[in-house]
Amino acid sequence: MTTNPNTSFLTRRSFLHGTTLGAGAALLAPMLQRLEAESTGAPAPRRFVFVIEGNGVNPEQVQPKTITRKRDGQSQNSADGLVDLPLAEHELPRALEPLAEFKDRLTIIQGLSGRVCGGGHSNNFGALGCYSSKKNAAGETIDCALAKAVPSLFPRVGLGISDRAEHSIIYNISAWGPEKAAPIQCRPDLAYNELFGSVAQGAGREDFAARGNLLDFMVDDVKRLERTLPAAERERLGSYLGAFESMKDRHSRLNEIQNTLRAKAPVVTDKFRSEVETDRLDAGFDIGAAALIGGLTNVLVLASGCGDPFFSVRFHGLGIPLDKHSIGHGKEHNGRPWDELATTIRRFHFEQMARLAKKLQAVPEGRGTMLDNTVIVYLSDGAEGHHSRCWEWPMVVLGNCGGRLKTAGRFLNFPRYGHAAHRTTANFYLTLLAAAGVRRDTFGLSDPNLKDLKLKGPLPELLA
Amino acid sequence: MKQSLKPSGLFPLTFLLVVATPLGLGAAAVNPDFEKDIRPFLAQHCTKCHGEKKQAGKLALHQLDGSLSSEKARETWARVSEKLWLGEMPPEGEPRPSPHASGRVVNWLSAEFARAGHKLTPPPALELPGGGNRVSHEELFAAKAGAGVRPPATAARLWRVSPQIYEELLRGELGKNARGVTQPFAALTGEGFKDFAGAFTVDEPTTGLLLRNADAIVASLTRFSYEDGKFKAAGNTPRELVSLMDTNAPPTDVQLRAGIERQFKFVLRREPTEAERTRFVAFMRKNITDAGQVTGVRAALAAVLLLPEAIYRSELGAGEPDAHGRRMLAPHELVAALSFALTDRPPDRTLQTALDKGQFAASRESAEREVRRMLADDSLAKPRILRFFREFFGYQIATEVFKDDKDNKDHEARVLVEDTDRLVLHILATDKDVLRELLTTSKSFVSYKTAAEQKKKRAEALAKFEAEKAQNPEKFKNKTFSPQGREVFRSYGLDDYPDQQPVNLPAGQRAGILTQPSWLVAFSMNFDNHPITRGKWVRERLLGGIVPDLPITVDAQLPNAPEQTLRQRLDVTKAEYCWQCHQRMNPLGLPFELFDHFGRFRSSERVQDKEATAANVDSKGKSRGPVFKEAPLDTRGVLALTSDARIDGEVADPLALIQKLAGSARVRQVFVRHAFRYWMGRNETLADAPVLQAADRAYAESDGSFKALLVSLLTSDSFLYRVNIGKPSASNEVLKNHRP
Repeated sequence: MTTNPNTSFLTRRSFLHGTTLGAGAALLAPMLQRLEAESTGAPAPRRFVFVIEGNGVNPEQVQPKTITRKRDGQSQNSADGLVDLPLAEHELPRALEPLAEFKDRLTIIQGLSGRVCGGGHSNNFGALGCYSSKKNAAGETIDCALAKAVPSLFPRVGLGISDRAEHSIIYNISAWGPEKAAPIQCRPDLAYNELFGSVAQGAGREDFAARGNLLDFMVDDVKRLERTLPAAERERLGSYLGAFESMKDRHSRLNEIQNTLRAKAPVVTDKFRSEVETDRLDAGFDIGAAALIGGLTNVLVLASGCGDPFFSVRFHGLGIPLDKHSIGHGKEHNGRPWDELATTIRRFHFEQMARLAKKLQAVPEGRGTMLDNTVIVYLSDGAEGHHSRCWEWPMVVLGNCGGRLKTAGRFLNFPRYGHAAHRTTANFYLTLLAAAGVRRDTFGLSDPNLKDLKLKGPLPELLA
Repeated sequence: MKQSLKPSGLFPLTFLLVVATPLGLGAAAVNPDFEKDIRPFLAQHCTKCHGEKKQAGKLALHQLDGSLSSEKARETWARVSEKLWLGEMPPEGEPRPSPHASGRVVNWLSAEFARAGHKLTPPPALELPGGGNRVSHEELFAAKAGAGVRPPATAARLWRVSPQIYEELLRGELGKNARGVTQPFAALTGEGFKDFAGAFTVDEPTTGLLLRNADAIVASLTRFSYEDGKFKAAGNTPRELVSLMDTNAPPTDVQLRAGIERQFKFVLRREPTEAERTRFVAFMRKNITDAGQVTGVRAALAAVLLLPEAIYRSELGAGEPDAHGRRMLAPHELVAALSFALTDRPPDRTLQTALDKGQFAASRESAEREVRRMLADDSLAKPRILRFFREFFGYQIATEVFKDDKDNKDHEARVLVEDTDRLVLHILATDKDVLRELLTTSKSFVSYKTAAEQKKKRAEALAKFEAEKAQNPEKFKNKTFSPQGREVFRSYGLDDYPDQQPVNLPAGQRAGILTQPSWLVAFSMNFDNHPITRGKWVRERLLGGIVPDLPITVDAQLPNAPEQTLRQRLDVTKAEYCWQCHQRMNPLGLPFELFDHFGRFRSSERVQDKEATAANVDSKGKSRGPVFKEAPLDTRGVLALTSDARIDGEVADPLALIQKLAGSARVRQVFVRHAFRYWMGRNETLADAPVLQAADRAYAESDGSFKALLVSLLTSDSFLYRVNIGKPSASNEVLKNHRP
């Protein structure tokens, strides 16, 4: 099979046109909408953030210290029924400690399976898409599905880090549809330019005007050529034209909300071009937070070393020169065993997640804050282990997305694989879709080994 | 639509376009109805041969009732949709349905499949690698192939420049001083050809990168400073461009025109037309007003780098169409096509000068002259040729296969790939029996770049070790020599680096590329061999066969049985449902069990000793880890379903398998088909049969000269001619205007 990574926005044009017709007001002035929400109590936008860390999450590392996991057999999780406990009465594991102050908004979910993904070092697009993906995108992923449901100027923003500092855009985890991968931008400086460049440069106004003229010129020029081409090639050039049209469209909108952007843009620091992975990830979180707060997007994906072959990231910034692949294989460093190293790195990600939550909490929206209308989901593209089999897929969920999710301080452990009350990651994603206002029965592929279970629709345990 | 005007071999392309939208994300069309739309279609086009009286290909369609609830019905309908999709049915000579009518059937089927909870997967599009073998080999190489269809030609097209071509632009005069530029394009991923003309569009993130690169390149071409208020251009900046930055002397229209001309020559290697000059000057003037002189002018110069002509190779054809509607590539198109066939750079000076002076006429003769000239010119780097072999054999992906260091500290995929590259070039230099040599040579390069140096280092270290051991025998009693670094020669079954390269590998162990460690690793798993993908490769690349993709619903897992050999574990694929496809792969891949998953020759296979492992416990009964034993190797395989009776039969090991393959005319023809695809940037159709047959003859009659094959392909009608597929364009005025 071959993948074409360059067609991910093939439908951008029609997509943008579609969303413009459907939600023009929301796109025109995201800030207006927020202000309106503040003054009138009108519904605020729903936001979805995915923090995805490569190389798997060992369920033990996100298990509250005081709740014993029932383990047995190949699939490990052997709970005989749904375990639903209040988190307040339990102590968070070390990796999760940074989220302590959000404990009352936090839900740890254990025991969802995702066997259709196949497992391995990474499930690539399958992790968010619920299908087997060696390297290519075989279908829509949940972030993109949500992006269609909660349109914004940038339907989905994908930021992250890869195993190599020179990588800019990689295609590893998200897709609009089969063979339509959506990018993860691994270079904070380029991400910044894309989102905030219009207000950031020294001669900002001039650059912005010149860029607008250039986009106009290009749209005109490409159209001129398109008209003369045979039909097949017109289609091919169409995506190039679509790219310019959509940029032009966005450009004029960015023009309208310049004041907001100026106020909300993150401060450009050395971290944007740092060789150190933690710096770049840190910058990614900053930019992502600003994109949410600036109203540029409602769906944010932060992917840290996800996807094959990008997963062997090192975290020098945490004093761990060992790559995550070696850690996954049980290597130690300076007498620190692998699980301590993995926990340290995981903890760093939860620190980032807490930082992001705090920033959102600081922004008033409607009668509450932005955090109230957001849900942040932490998971790994590698499911439950370094060489995962996807028997279970730990998730850490922060926020209730405007009261649509029942995530106020809970520990949920779904019963063992095959048990009548067992559920899959697809059910969880369907729950997110329901929170976004989209009711669907299935997402991705269904697990043929679970065909006797009632696996349609969202999780009533979680959906408000 | 007037179907009769269309070349039948190209029909599927048109058809794909028609059905693409409804099957994609576009708005759903009104769904056709079985009784009203589908049944009449079947009656009109299908049931004559696949009905009550006759069931060609054991296929009967007259009893279909539109229900997709049974597996059998879905299988039948999937076959129908595939044949329609590929335009393979109804057969030649029968009235063809319009693409619209076929499209309705496929639309209806997609909707019904979805309703039944299944997905109707389109076959690999004819535009993409992997779809090529769909065209019948027998028909392509039949005596009268191509008769009655329009003579060979390629659809007029735009071909996005490859990542390598763009890389050359960044490294060349234009981009060498630019900072912060980055590769915007990706190639096709995975195994196989990476650059097909139909594979790429330019999406928004890519356009964003192109835009930023253009900004950076223009900034580097127009660097300046002011010293005491006096404008100073930076070194190595073209005067016509940088002078436009001087705010002490705002540019005149004449200067702006000169700047645009310079930029066109730089980027597009041609003068702008008068219309383009006027448009760009107006653009610059507007920009200067809106954004100031420096930023405004730079933005306009950047636009030249973004013109579709700079992003896409244009191959639309020019001049009067011949009797079959074909037009030869325009001179500038042909010059670029020839250059990009062999190199990643724009036309060399000889070609460009001839073009600029109007002395290059597009013709078969001029193409042949230039191909021969470039092939003979050793000073001209021709990376596209080696790349073909890399992508055909796929050995270069060895570097992407993760291997655990602790299992073999001597494994270095990068070096293995370099060695195979070198072997390919070595065989190409002789240019005799190229394919057979590639498949059967017992020679190899072994860490050829550094072998001499490594050998010396190793000898010195060994001497030092021996000397120390002699001085202190007691201390060294239990020590063995363990050198630093990776001993790559071990992958080849040698005990040291060879003195002469290429070297003959140990007798009876290796035969050509398929037994090079690089290839074996490329088609291996992290911890095991991969007989399935090896067999698939042989089936597709040498036998021209088809293996369907793994059904998406199949959870393909080998049993976790460490006490079994891989061949035994693969027995799970012998279940009837699996074996339909696996019979095409496993018997061709299993002979390669002669090697381990690092590509090392072996005479037995290590498996876990179940009983010894069970007994290997400490005093408390806790396991002390697995115990292994050697199991006998079984390297037998079967050549079957090859359509070449002369090679069908059992083989004892990979060497016997390869010998048979190397002697097969069909294998040679399939190789030629792949070369065609790579150099045409598309898959062959039946209309290309004469071109393929001529290329095969050129190769065979020249005793296997790859150069002869290349000359034949690059002077063929398929390479030289373009036809408009689908709705003809009104004119090519703009592109014509793009040329002086």
